[in-house]
Amino acid sequence: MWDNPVSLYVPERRLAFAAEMSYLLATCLIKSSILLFYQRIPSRTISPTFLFITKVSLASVVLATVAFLIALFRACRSLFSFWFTNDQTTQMRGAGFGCSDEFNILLSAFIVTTVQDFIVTTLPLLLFWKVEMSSQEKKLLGAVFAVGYLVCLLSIARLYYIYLLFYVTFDTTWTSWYIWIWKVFEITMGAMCASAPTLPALYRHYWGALSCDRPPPVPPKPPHMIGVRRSVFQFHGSPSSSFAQLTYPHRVRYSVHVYAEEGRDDRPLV
Amino acid sequence: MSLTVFPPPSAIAGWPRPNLVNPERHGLGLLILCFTLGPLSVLLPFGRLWTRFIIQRNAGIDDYLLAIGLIPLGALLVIISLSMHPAP
Repeated sequence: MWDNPVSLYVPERRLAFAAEMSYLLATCLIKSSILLFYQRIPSRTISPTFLFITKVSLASVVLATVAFLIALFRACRSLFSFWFTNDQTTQMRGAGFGCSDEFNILLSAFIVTTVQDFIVTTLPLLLFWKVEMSSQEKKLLGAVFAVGYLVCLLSIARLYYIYLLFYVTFDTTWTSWYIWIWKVFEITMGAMCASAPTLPALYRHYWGALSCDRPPPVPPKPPHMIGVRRSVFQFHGSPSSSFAQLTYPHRVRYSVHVYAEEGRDDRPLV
Repeated sequence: MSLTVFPPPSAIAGWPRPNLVNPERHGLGLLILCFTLGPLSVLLPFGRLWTRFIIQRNAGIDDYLLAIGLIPLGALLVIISLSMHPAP
């Protein structure tokens, strides 16, 4: 802060304002997108409670974003005075900025967003708890959730730097660097996790099945299918006839598939 | 939010003299973060939107919100990268 030339103070504030605004909008849109994605899950797999929690969190995300945007625009008496809040020459002239207590806003924003992050991460975990899947699918899903909780924990680390800034160093430009690192990490991870569930479908479409895909389920063989197979074979002769095996050795494999009808006797007929 | 801090005069008095010639600076950490995670965080959602809009043709409101959300996300990455420019 103290090594910055005075000419950089105002641009720094403007950049901070623009960055903060885009951060707020991006987190709001990405979080709402994730929550609405939960609502699109087929309704037989989700409970009404789950839907209710999703709707409440969606409302809280939208309301919180509107509140924080207002707080950002009304942080000082006007936007114009906001640009000059770091400018010591203006400060020393005794100009009042009419700024509100920023630490309280920051603390409340921090608490609200952290709680929302935890809810958004935990909701699908509750959902997938019951679903059976292969161990590789579980590992992939676990990785996505691990990233989600890592982001939640990192946002707690941010609180330490905010405290440091407001009560120990007062060094805005130096300390906000650390805070922006967490923010960039959080928002990029959020965008990636939001698109993770759809990417397997993209991969399958262009490059074929994934290694963790299970083979398509084999439908149970209805009784009439046996009759069809049997008739195919009977076209070539009796299954037990040695004549058939000698004459058509390449057709002998058919006999393996011929079972007693209605499953009463599972032994091959030959 | 935007970190408006009013240091008390006693704190300002305790600050060292400005070193404008060779100031202490942060490394390239934030810039590297923006340049590695940034493209990924735009490409992966783009892959998702491609799947939903072009392949599956079942795009919903969540996809539209993500598409709009990519705009401020890109803006944020650009702003942060620009604000890391070397000191004049």
